[in-house]
This record gives sequence, C-alpha cells and structure tokens, in this order.
Amino acid sequence: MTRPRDDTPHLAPGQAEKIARLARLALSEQEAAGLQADLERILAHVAQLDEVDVAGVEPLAQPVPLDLPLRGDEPRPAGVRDELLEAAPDRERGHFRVPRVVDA
Amino acid sequence: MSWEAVIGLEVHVQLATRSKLFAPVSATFGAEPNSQVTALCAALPGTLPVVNRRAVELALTAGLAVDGELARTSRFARKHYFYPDLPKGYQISQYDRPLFTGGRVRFPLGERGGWRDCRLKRIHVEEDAGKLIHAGDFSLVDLNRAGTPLVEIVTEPDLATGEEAGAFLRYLRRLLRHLEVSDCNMEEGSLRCDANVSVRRAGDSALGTRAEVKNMNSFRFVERAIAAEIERQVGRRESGRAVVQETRLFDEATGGTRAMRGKEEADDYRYFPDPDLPPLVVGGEWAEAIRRGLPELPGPAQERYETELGLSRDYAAQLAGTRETLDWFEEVLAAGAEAGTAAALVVQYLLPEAGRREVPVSELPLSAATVAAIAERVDDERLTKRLARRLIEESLAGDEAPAAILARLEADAASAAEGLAAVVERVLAEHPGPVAEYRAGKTKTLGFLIGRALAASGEGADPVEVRRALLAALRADG
Amino acid sequence: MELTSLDVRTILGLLESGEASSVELTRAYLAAIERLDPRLNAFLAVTPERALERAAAADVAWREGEAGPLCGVPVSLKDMLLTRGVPTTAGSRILAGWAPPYDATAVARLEAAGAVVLGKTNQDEFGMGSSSENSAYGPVRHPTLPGRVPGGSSGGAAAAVAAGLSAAALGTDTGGSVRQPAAFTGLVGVKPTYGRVSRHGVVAYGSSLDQVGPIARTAWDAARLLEVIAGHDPADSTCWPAPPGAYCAAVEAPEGARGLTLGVPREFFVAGMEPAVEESVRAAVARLEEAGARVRPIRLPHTEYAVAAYYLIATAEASSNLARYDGVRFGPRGGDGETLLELYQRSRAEGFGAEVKRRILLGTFVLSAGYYEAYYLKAQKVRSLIRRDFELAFEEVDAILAPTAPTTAFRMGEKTGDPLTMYLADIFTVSPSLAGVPALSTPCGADAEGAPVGLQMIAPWFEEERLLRLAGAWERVRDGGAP
Repeated sequence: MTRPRDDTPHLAPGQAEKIARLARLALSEQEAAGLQADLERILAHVAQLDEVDVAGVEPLAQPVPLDLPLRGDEPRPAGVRDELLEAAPDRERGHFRVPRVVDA
Repeated sequence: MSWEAVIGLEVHVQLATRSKLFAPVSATFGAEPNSQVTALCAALPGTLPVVNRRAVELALTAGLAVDGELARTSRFARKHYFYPDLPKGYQISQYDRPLFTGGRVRFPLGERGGWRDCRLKRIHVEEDAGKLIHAGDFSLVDLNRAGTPLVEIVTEPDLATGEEAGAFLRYLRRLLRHLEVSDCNMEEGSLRCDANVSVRRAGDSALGTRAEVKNMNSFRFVERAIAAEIERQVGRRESGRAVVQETRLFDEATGGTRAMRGKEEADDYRYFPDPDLPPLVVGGEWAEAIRRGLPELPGPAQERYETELGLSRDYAAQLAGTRETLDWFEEVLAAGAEAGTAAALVVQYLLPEAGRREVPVSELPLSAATVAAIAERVDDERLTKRLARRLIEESLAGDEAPAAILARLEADAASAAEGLAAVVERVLAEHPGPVAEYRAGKTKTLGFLIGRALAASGEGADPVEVRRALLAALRADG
Repeated sequence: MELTSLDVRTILGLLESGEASSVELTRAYLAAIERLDPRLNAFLAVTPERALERAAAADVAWREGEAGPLCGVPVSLKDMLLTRGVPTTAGSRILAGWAPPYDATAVARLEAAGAVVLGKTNQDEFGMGSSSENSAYGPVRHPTLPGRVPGGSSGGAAAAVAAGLSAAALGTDTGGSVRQPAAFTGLVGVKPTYGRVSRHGVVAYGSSLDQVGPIARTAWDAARLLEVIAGHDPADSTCWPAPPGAYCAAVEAPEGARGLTLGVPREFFVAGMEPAVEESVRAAVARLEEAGARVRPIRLPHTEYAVAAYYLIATAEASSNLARYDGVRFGPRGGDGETLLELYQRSRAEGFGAEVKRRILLGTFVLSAGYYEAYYLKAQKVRSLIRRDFELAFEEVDAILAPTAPTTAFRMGEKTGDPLTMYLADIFTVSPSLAGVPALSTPCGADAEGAPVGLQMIAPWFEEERLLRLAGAWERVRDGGAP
C-alpha cells in the first residue's frame, strides 16, 4: 500500500489548537498534541495529491448531473414546536436559552 | 486640504415570499416565538434544504431591474460561523458564483434635482438568521426568522456622502416596493444596511483604509452614522493617526460610531459549495419572461416626467412615487389630459386625500378619465381651478356622479355670472370718476373698482371671475 | 431451518402461504436479539412492543390480501436513520436520548411496504470508521469470527443480519460503510448511485457521498429492499427524479452474466492485499467468465489517490455538517459552561469521540483560509479525474469486478492505534463513492479461518438493474445453480 512520501511539516506548531478553536472543540493539552501528530501524518499521506496534474481540470461540482429543483411557495404549518422545545436542553418562555451572548 | 469620502453599501432585503427560502413554512413578522420553525429551521439532524422558486423569481426581478449580469448557473455556498441565531453553524449563502454581478442604480438626489449613478458589485440570495433577545445573564433564541429569504445587494464604493447613501437607499426601497420584491420596512428589519467608509485626500486615486459601520436602523441614522464616521476618519488622518480596518457600531445616543468589542481574530468563514444544493440554472426563457414583465421603473418614469413633461422634481417624485400612483397617473395622461394641469390637480387634491384615507389613489371614487376631463376644462378655462377643486372635493365626498356635480356647479357659476354682471354695471354706474380715469389709461383704479364689486356681490364671489367681468365691462362701453 | 436464518424471499413465501406469521417470526428475532446481542452489541435500541404491533398488522394485511412488498419482514435500521419517536444517536453521545420528530424517507417507505422495524443498530460514530469500534456505545463484535470486527461503519446492521437478529437491514455508505461490513460478514451490501435513494432524515456525514443501502442475505433480498426505498423524493434536492427500477426481476434475469463485458482494474490488486482475498476474487472472475461473461483488464489510473481525495472531501463536509451539534437545541449540553463559547466547546468536546474530533479538525483545516485551494479544491479536481476514469472504463465494459476490501475481517484493536491504516482499509470502496456510481459487495469465498471475502461489483450511474443482474448470476454460479 502507498507509503507517505513527504515528511516536510504541514502544520505550524500548535495549529491543531487553533483549528480546534475555529471548530469550537475544547481540547486538553494532551489531546491537542495527539491530534496535531495525527493530522500531521494524515497530511503527509495526502501530500501525494501534489503529484496529480490537475491543470485545466474543473473541480467536481456534483456526483451526478442534476439542476437545482425548485418548489412552490406554499407554506405549511410547522407543527413541531412542542417537540422542538421539549428536546431543548434549556429553554425559557418558548425560546431556546443560552448563556448571554457578548456582542455590541 | 480637502478630503473626499468613498462609501459602499451592503444592503440586505427580505423577499416578499409566502414561505421561507429552504423550508415550506411561513415567515410572517411577529408570530409567537419558535412557532414558524420546522425541523430544518432548527437544524435537526438529517434535514435538507429545498429552494423556494418564488424567492429566486423575486431575486431575478430585482437583479434584472437594475441591469445586473445574470449568472446562468450560480451556486449556493456555506458560510460558517458559530452563533445561537444560526442553528446549522453555517448560513446558506452564495460566494464565488452569485446570481448577479454588476448592475447600476440611477437615483434622484434630494429636492435640488439631479441624478446619481451607483454601480452594483453583486446581488446574491441567502437565508436570514434567527433573532436573539437578552434576558439577564441569558440570551433567548427565536428561530422564526431563521431561513427567511434575503437578497444581499453590494454596491461599488460610488457614493460620496451620507446624504447620497440615504438618497440611494430611499430610491432602492421605492424601486423594490414598486417591483413588489420586498416591503423594505427598516423597522421590521426587512431592509438592513451596513456601510463601508473610507476617506482620502481629494484627487488621490488610492483608497484609504475602510471601516465597516453597522447597527443603523433608519435612513436618517445611516446618513448620520456615515457623516460621523467620515468626520472621525478625517480627524484621525489630519492628526497623523492611521484609520484601523475594523467593524464599528453606530451609537444612536452619541450619534457617533464606536469599535465593536469581542471581535478576536477575523472570522474564517470556510466557504465551500453546498453539497445539498445542485447548481441553480436559470433558463433564458425564464429570465426573458421576467425582464419583459418588468413595469416602467420609478426612476426612469420620474426622470421622464421631469424632462419630457417638464414637471417639478417634487411633482414628478410624487407622481412616480409608487407603482399604483404611477400607473394611475399614466391613465390620466392617456385620457388626454395636459400633464401640467393634471399633475397639479392630482398632487394638490387627490394624493393628499388618498393619503388621509390610506388607500392608493386608484381606489378614490374618481376615475382617471374624470380627472382628465376636469383638467381639460381647466385648461381651456371652462372651469376655474377653484371650481375644479370644489368639483373634485364634492365628487370625493358624496356619491353624486361627477357629471351631475359639474352641471350643478356650472349652473351656479352661470347664475353667479348674471348676478355678477348686474353688480358690475351698478358699480360702474356709481363710480363714473374711477371708470373714466381707467379708460383714460390710469388703470390703477381697477383695484378700487374690484374692491367695490366684491363688496357688492357678497361672500363666495370668485375674485378672478369678478376681475374678468369688470374688465369686460370697462372695455365694452369704452 | 431456523426461522431467523431464512432469507426475505423465503419469509415472504411462508407469510403468503400462512405457514408462518409475522408475529411468530418477530418473536423469534426478538428472542435471538435477547440471547445474542449482549455479546455482539449490534443493537443500540430495540422496540419490541412497536415491532409486535406492526407484525400483527402485517398478518392482518396478508390475510386481507393487502400485503405490501415487505409485509411482515423483520428488519433493523442503522442508527444514522431517523425514526420518529425512537431514540436516534448515530453512535454518538452528543445525540444520547434524543428522539427525532420525523422519520427518514427510506424508513417511511420501508414501513409503508409493511416491514417490521426491530430496532436501531450500532455503528461507528457519525459513520466515521471501518470497524464499528468508534461507537460511543461500545464496539460491535463479529458474529462468527471471535475477536474480529464486523467492519464499519454499518457494523451493527451487518452483524444483526449475519447473526440472525434481523432478516435484512438498512445501513448507510459514504466511503464503503455498507459494502465493507457486508464483505466481512458474508452478506450482500449495496451502495446505490448517488441520489438514487433519498438522504432526507439521514444524519449527514459526507453530503456529496452518503447513500442509504440494504444489507441482506441474498441479491434478491437486497433488490427488494432497494425497490422499496429508491425513487425520487422532493424533500432531497440531490435525489434523482426517477421511479425505482425492477431490481428483483433483474436478479433473476435468465441471461445472467452472458453478454456482459466485465472489467478487472489492475489498480485494485495491490501489494499488501491478503492472498485469500485476491485468490477468491480472481476465482470468481474466472467462474463468471465460464458462465459466459467477457472479461478484460482495465485501468482506473487515479485509484491510488482516492483515499486521500476522499478524506479531504468527506471530512470537509463532515466538519460543516457537524457544526449544528452545539448543545443548544437538542441532545445533552456540555458541563456548566458560564459563557456561550464554553457551552459550545464543552458540549462538543464531551459529545464527540476521538475519531469524530480528528475528522472535524482535518475538515476544518482543509476548508480554512489559505488552505482551501491546496487541499479541498485540489481534492475536488482529483475527484473529477477519478470520475472520468470510470466514464472511460464504462465505454469499454458493462460492469467492473474488484475486491471489496484488501483484507478479510481484521482483529479488534488492530487498526485503532493508527487512523491512517484504518483509512487505507477503504482503499477499494472510496473511488466508486467519489465517482457516485452504484456498487455492491457479494460473498465470493473465504480464507483458511472461514473469514468471508467480498466481491465488489461496480456499474455505471443508475444501472442498478445491471448490477443486480450480475449479482444474481454470480449467486447462481457460486451456489452451483445454472450459470
């Protein structure tokens, strides 16, 4: 099976942690280090794609040639309000509730 | 050393559809919290978007009306950020292949007259987010508005002042209402605007660093916020401090703008084409059908009224103010009325009445043909403006047919005219002196004679009529 | 013959003739689950009352001559498929205890056809894995091979059918998650053409790759399930607007393999493959040739890049599709976070397993500013080339034969230490997923210890009938019947 061919680093130190913040994942020190190593090895394997000449090749827009179907503008009752609110871990007065959002 | 400002606007407009962009549920304003929320709006697992044809149609209408360049094939893309009003963790929008690029809006600039052109950069379709209300140390999320269809209209930085930005927005609202694309109601949030503002020394070509100004909830605030931001930036540059690229919020209390807290690193939206939505392909026939179906737009109509019909900026703006008024006034013109007179009648008497009754002018009990007929009579002086006004007011008030009113009014006028002739004769007879002086060329005495005639004929006499009758009599016996 | 080992076609015959009732059959399966599942851990939720109710209704329908195409057949559903009112977890803690307010289209169609749903089967979390060891609810064990994995991510579905805990099953396949477990457990598993079966109500992993597919004991059974769940669904904008094909009839097509030109791609026989796999597959190819098929070697030149392209595209889509799991609107909420940021970070950190985190990070990185062109866009371009390989191949051949996986069922814990070796286990199943073509796996032999080997058959887009015709022909050849 194919060997990883490229060992130049693909991630800056601590980059896994930065990505984790972007993805809103709290990582322990040790988890971050482990994931950084995993990603590094996966990206080393993925580097083989560099060999592929894609000059003039269009990125695949979709697996099968289909135009976007459009539906009529007929509203129907939502009908799931109670189930939605019941499933919510925290709610108040018919709203989903979260810790106060710090914005302007 | 004078400065000039370079302003571009990003306008979000809610489309007037009956259901949301991706979910078949209604999105009327003000419903009970989370009552217009499907599994898709709440981003439950396994839910998929299905695009509302009407939303695309309204976006096409807007784009074609501003001469945008239609992308035959456009793509929806996912814009990622975490926020409680964005349940999917991404907004379905358009990124590198928007529905329209380019386009142009020609808008009137205030009372002084004159027109401006503002180029557009792009128009794309996207979904709105939900709403947050703050309650103590919590925020409460209502997803009723989540998934409502929007178009985002992004202009080129062609605007130079806050006032111009306001004029552009007012015209854009008028245009989109005219096209029934959106009700553009800033209070309800169906029209929202952010401004990108930078300044540079007059004559420089390079653009200064720009700041994005948000949180402006009315056109007046847009004008004030931009003006304040220009002033702030000029102030910094003149004191040698650089303008920082940042997002600033307009503060209604201070009338100024302030930097937005909590913006750590710039958002990385990680756009990529939405795999749940194949490309949006707009066929030529569909686009052509919409283009052909476009009504005459308010801007060109108003400009035609100003240039070809010679109407004032104010009259032209009011008569081309809304689609109903424009269509109706066109009917009046089509019925053969002379533009100037008809315009005056409509603007002075009909539009205010329609406003009071809060109905379009076309729903007043006075047909365009009748108004045209009245205007014609006023033109060839068979009807004075005062009489015309009474005719209009009475036809609007009662259910008596205008023709009957006209006959009655003309009869009164006739009897008034006989009465008037008698009065004129008596006055001439009682004041031979001033009469002789007038005939000898000292026309100044006419005023005295009119006074006497008016006094003699009692209230309700029409000074114009009295003057006309006196002159006729003075000239006749001479 | 034990009731719980009968194939669906035989079951339907017994129900129709009245020799067996759905209630009796369903009880037998429920008893088998109770007896065997504690060891296999194939089920996450079992719904006995609901199943027996529907079985009773099915028996009435049979008596009144209104039986649907799967009337009374006890089936299981991978926990990626939403079932209204029945907990659906996708094998993750982040959905623990969450009962959806709606059914997946495929589930609704299955039940409308009269199927009896026994419960939800265990899987790799969010479909991410090839061994079903990534489940938040413990691994699934191979039913007949001690200490081995049943494959993944639809491992529970495969183990249930193989161990006689359900007559057939629905799984989902993104990079091989139906085909590979079917190969490892000696069953038939079908991944339809992309868009052939609705994804409405299916927990999304890789939206441009995911498909719902049947796992069954025979080609005919798989065909019957596919006939029921395939077909246009307006609730899925990527669903192909056409009715399902006549798949059962195709399985029995008398011409069988005769007249079909079958391609064998050189790139699917790589160094490091288990010898037994290569031998079994090549033997199957030879026997199909004897049965009248024309066989010729073909090239699928970009196959070696498929795993890399797949993992960039699938994880990018997964990082986006899993952004909705934030502890705000459903599912458990992470520890007492004071701020909103903490709520997100804790809910997701506690809710997702290690492999899911790994793929979310990889996918987030792949889409992030500065890397999008080099990774995501490049992968989508390579995907175009992989798709073109198949277009060119199908100009020469009617279908393609290849191994489903490079090995038979590997040992538990063998690949969990190194994610890359687990990814490489999908090397033969990812390219048909990237191309969007239909593919299935059917048993074609076993290694010395009796571990089944899967033969992968691949057909052009929307040619499921040809695919199932070939599978039917192979079964007859394999089981000694007329070619």
